[in-house]
This record gives sequence, structure tokens and C-alpha cells, in this order.
Amino acid sequence: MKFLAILKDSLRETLDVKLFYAMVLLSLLVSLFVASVVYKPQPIDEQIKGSLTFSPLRPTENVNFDILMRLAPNPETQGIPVMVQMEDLQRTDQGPANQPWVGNYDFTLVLKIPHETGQRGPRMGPQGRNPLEGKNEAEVLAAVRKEITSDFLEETLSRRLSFLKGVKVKTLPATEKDQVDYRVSSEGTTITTAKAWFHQPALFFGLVDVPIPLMTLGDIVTFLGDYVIGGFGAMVTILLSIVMTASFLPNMLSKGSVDLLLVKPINRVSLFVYKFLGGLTFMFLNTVVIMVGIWLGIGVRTGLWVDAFLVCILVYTFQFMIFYSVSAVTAVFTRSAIVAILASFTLWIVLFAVGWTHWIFVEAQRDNTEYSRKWGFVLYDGVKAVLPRYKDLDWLTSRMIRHDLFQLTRSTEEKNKAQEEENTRRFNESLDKTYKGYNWTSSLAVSSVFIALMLGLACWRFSTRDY
Amino acid sequence: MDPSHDSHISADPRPAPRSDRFPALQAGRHPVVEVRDLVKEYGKIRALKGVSLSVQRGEIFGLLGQNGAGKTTMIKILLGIARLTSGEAEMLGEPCGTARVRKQIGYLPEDHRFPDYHSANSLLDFYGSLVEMPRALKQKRIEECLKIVGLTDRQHYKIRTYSKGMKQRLGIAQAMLHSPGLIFLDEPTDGVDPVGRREIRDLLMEMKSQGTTIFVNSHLLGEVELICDRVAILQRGELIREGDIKSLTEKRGYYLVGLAPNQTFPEAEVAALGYEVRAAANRERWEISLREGQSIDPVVDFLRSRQLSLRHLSEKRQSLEDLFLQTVDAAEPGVDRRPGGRQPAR
Repeated sequence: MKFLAILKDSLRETLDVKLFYAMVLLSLLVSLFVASVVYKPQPIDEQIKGSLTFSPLRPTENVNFDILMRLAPNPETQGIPVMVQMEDLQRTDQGPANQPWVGNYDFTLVLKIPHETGQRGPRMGPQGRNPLEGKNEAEVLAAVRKEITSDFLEETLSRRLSFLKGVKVKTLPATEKDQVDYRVSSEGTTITTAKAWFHQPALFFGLVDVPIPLMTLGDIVTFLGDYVIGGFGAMVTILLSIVMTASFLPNMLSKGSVDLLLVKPINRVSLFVYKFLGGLTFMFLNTVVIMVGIWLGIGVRTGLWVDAFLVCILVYTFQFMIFYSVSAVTAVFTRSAIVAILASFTLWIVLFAVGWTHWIFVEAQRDNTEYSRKWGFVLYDGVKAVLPRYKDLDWLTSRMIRHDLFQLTRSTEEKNKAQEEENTRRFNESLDKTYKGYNWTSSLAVSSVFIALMLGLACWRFSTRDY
Repeated sequence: MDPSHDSHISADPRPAPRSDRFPALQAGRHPVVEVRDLVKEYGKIRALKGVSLSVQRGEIFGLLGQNGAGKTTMIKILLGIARLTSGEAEMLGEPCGTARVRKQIGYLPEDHRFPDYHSANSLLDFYGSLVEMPRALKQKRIEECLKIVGLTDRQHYKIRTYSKGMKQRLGIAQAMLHSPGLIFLDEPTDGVDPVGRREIRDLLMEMKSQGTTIFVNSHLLGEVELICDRVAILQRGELIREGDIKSLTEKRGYYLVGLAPNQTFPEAEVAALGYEVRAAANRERWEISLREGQSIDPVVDFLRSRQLSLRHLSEKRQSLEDLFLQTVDAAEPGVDRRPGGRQPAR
């Protein structure tokens, strides 16, 4: 009853702070924003173009390096930059138009020799010589036709366009004097769900396309969840919550206010802990609003119900508890909200710096024996060992989201089972390598000890101090 | 209702204090508050230097003293807000500060600061929950208390919109919400207008009549004199005077004499009779001190013999303020002594 009364009191206090409304509004806007993102399946030609060029961001007419590599060893064709164009794409099955991943396709692939070869192309012949110098176009085309056989192209396309199944290539008779044409056909794709298909995100219910590289739906959601929500969003939420809750305990401890509470038949430690939990509860509730909103928004839009987002509620609340415990102990000693905010922010900066240093620098050097003997490294390890693992929890959350999304987007078809198992094994290996040195047990344990120490100190001071 | 008007306290009947949890007290075997050799030190500063006092059940007890005398420190020790250095302090038959005792206590601090995000109603609901009042009783008492202090119409407004007097009345309401057997009031009439003060006095007297013990700390000595049964005066952490109001303010051998208008008081002649004479009240009254064995009758006879018309004759009682000023000025000078050194009243 007393706990609920204090919780209710904290709720009133929270609702009285304008910043809380700003936070709720922000949470709702973020949820709405996420829910407003439309993921448009990309037509297959975009996907083929993207896969055939070196970079998906480059225009379609670009040098194809697979073909260049084929041409390079031959003195006759070395240095000739060949551009690849796709023309006359046709879908030959009667499948649903909004599911491009289930179709059969035919298209013409054109290898084109630029007229200003040697100036526009990235490669030059030996000693910077123009490889076309002294040769007419027919000779060059004959050389290209000789090198780029239909078998070669079939093998290349099967590799580069791995999502297409049953790729067949047939060389067509020449139609233009500066190009060689091939007809390519496919039967179905390896992709069975929209989740693994390339999508184009568009903001505000499809009004504004986001200019991003070709990404699968799973990759987009990973980016959203990992960087936008887990990285930036969680950071902003935690920092705002620190500000919002920093005045809770100082207000309770202020002269004329604390007396009225201390004369009530409630143990001081309980009073403190209840008030602390009150602050924590509202961070929790706010996180629930934003994360459930995001979970729903993404789930409804994409069909990817990423449970890791829901687990994030607990992780972010726990991360907040690290800073709130410092805020609380500072409040008990100083009774000042400003000092409590400063102390919490200072800790945040320290943990942020230590965490990032570990991620980008120290962990990378971990296997370097000579480096690990240096005193700075030892000192760093010592400092990191006793500090709460705020950033470690971030990395672990990131791993959790990636793992969850991988599981959600992988094929469940029985015939792909062996391949998927291999993919899963490789993916898990990749995760283990990337997040080596981080684990939930030690991160939670060290952080919990830190929180317990801070709260213990605060409780001791609060229960022994005269007011 | 005019929200700025502070005079809405009515002494409505209220439930009797629940002292059934303290059978020894109910049987009247223990004082409600008992303090023995109480010492409180803040580092090198001794705020209380061995104070002993007791408060009986059902009385209104006033604790007086200058700023820094140690009044608030003593109240805070009794309430468990501060800890004693040595000595003993008991309330309701138990060591002070225990949860069981605190459940039976109401308290209005001097510089109270209610969370202004509450309304009067929600604040009382919050405090009522902290003392574990059953929901139905709590709602009933909230209504009653708000009615008593005249805040019913404003009960759902935020406290930040209240005047100082309204906050003070809300403070009294929260102190008596759970019908405590013992109430500590630190400057209960602070910020309240004269009509409101009288209503608070009436309320306190009503509570007293129902058996509630009230411990008042106030600078308004006139108020204290009107309501308190007993007072104690603290000076620099020491109890320098304690007793009931009547005996403390009683002072034999002083008379005030007044003559008819335009008549001159024969000051020199009366002094020649062996009396000590002093003008008072703009020379419209004369204060006459009697020495051991003297009577006022010879003075009256003398004035009559001089054909003077006697219009006023009264035996003077000293006020509590006189007593207080006389007591604290007579005490050892200290940091809390008022600058200027006003002469003690007799």
C-alpha cells in the first residue's frame, strides 16, 4: 500500500514535469514515425542492376568487374572497360505482381564498349596505352565475344545474381557494332519471403523514399533497431530520463518536505527504495511505450516481430538504473537536482568513452601480446573491470537484435535446410567474432554490484542522517 | 468561497484519539512525552544540554524559546527525524521514533513544503496511505478534515495555487488526518489572519477536550498564553523555565491605578509613603509595587483624602511575553539574545 502510494506520488510528480510530456510526445512520435515507414519491395531489375554493378549506389551503366577480370589476362582485351546494361526485362510467369521473388525472368544483357575507351574506363592497357589503339571495333568485339562466352556469363551471373535460380545464358547475334548481347533467363528465386527481398524504405507512409543502398527488409530493420533505436534512441531516452527523474529525490529530501515523510510510520530505507523504484518505474513505462510502439510498428509493416525489441525494455531500464543510482546517492548527499544531473552525466560520459575505446581500440588489440603487456592496457582493463558495463550492454543488445532478425529472415524451406544451417553457423561465428569479449553474465553482474553499492551508500546516508 | 480568505476553520466534532494501542497510556500511568537529560550535539555544537521535561495526556504544552534555542531540534528528536546524542526520550510510553509511535503522531513543521503537484485532496490521500489508513476511513477523514479547515471547495486545486494561510490550514488538516493521540504543531498560526487564528485556537481547544495532547511551538506568545496549559522555555539548549501558565504569569504585589481625567497623580507623595511608583500607559495609569508586608489600602485612602477620583484599580498579572522576555534576558547572554538589550519587564 505504501509502495503504491509512493508510486502514485511519483506519478503525480512526473506528470507535473513538462519534460515528461515532451518525452511521451517524443516516444509517440518515434513510434508513429517507425509505423509510418513503408517498405516497398524493389522490382527485380533494380536488384539485378544493383547486383551486377560494383556498388549498388553506382548508376546502372558501369564497369562490371567480373567481366573485366575475365578480359584482363588476355593481351587482346586487357584494359578494355566493358559496361553492362540490362534491357528488355520480362516476367514470364503469372505470379502475383507484388511478389517479385516468386517470378521467372528473361532479360537481355548487353556488354557495351564505350567509344572513348581508355579515357572513361578505370583501367588502361600496359604502360597506359589505349588498348583499342590500332584496332578497329570489330576486332575488339570479336575479342570480347571470344572471352565472354555464354558459359562464363552463366557462371558469373549465377554467382552475382545468387538469388536467381536456373540461370541460363544464350549469346545473341550482334545487333550493334559496339556491343555484344546475351539473353538471360531464370526460373524462380532462392528467396521465399519478403523479409529476405530487397526493399526500399519510404518515410511518412510512402511519401519520401529514403536514398539508401539496396538492402533486404531484414537488413533495414536491423539498421533501424540496432543504430536508430538501440543506439541513438536509447541514448536520448536514458539521458532525458536522467534529467526528468533527477529532481524526484532532492524534492523529497528538501527541508520542510522530508520531515513530513519521516514522521510517517515507514522505514527510511523502504521510503528511499520506494521512491527510487518510483523513478525507475517511469523510465520503465516510458520505455515500454516507445519499444512496444516500435515493435508493433515494425511488426505490422514488415511481419518481422522482433522480440529482442521487447527484451530491450529491460536492458534500457537496467542501463538507466546505473545512472539513476548515482543520481540517487548524489541527491542524498547534496539534496541538489543539478548536482545529481551533473554526476549522472559525468558517469555517462566516462562509461561511453570507456565503452567505445574498448570497442574500437582495445578489443582489436587484444591478441597482440606485446601491446597487452603495456601498463596503459593493464590500467585500462582495471578501470573497465570495476565500472558498470553500460556500453557492453549496448553491444550485447545489438548482438541480440541481429541474431533475432537473422532467425526471422532466414528461409524455413525444407529443401534449403542444409544451406540455411550452414548460413546460420557462419552467421553465429561472425557474431561471436564481432562481439568477442562481451557477455551478459559479467556485464550484468558487475553493473549490478555497482548499483547495489551506490544504493547501499545512499540508504546508509539517508537512514543515519539528521534532517 | 474566496480562496484568499484564511478564516474557515470550524471546531467540528472529530473521532476520539486511538490510544488503545498503548494501554499504559490509557490507564494514565505514563506521561505522553517524557524527556530526560536529553543531549544533542552537532559536531562541537551542543544544541541541547541535558533537557528534561514531560507532557501529560490531554494537555496543550507550549515550547518557547528564541531562534536557535533548540526547540526544533527537540521536536525533531522526539519525532525521530534527528537522533539524540545521549539521554532518554519517550513518547506514548515507547522510545521515540519507532514506527508504532509515529503512527500515533501528527506533525506540522514550521517551514513545511508540501509537494505542490498535489491538490489538498490527493495530498491527504497520500499521507493517509503512508499511515496505513483503511481506504473508507481515509476518504471519510479527508472530507471531515478539509471541512474543518475550510478547504472543501478548493480541495482539487493544485497546492501551488494556495495562499500561505490555506497551506497552513492544509498542514493542520494533514496533522490531524489519522486522528493521532499526540500532535506537534510548529508555529501553527504562522501566516494566518486574526480570524483564522482564533478558529485554529478553537480547533485546538476542541481537540484537547477530546483527549488529544498537543505540543505547540510558537513565537506568538499571546496565542500560547491563550491555549496552553503548560509551557517550557528553552534558552541556548537548556530548559530555564517550566510550569503551568497560571502559576508562571501570576505575580503578586503589583497594582495598576487610574484616576479620573484631568486629575494629577501625586507620584511624589505616594512614593513618600514608602511605595515604588512608575508611570504606565502614557501616564494614564500608574504602577505601584508593594514591598513585603505592605497593602494597597493606604494608597487608596491617601488618594481619597486628596479628593481624587479613582477610576481604575487592578492587581497586575504579568503576561507570558513579560515572563518570556524577563526569563530570556535574565539568562546568560548568547548568540540568540536580541540586539539592543531591552530591559526586562517586571
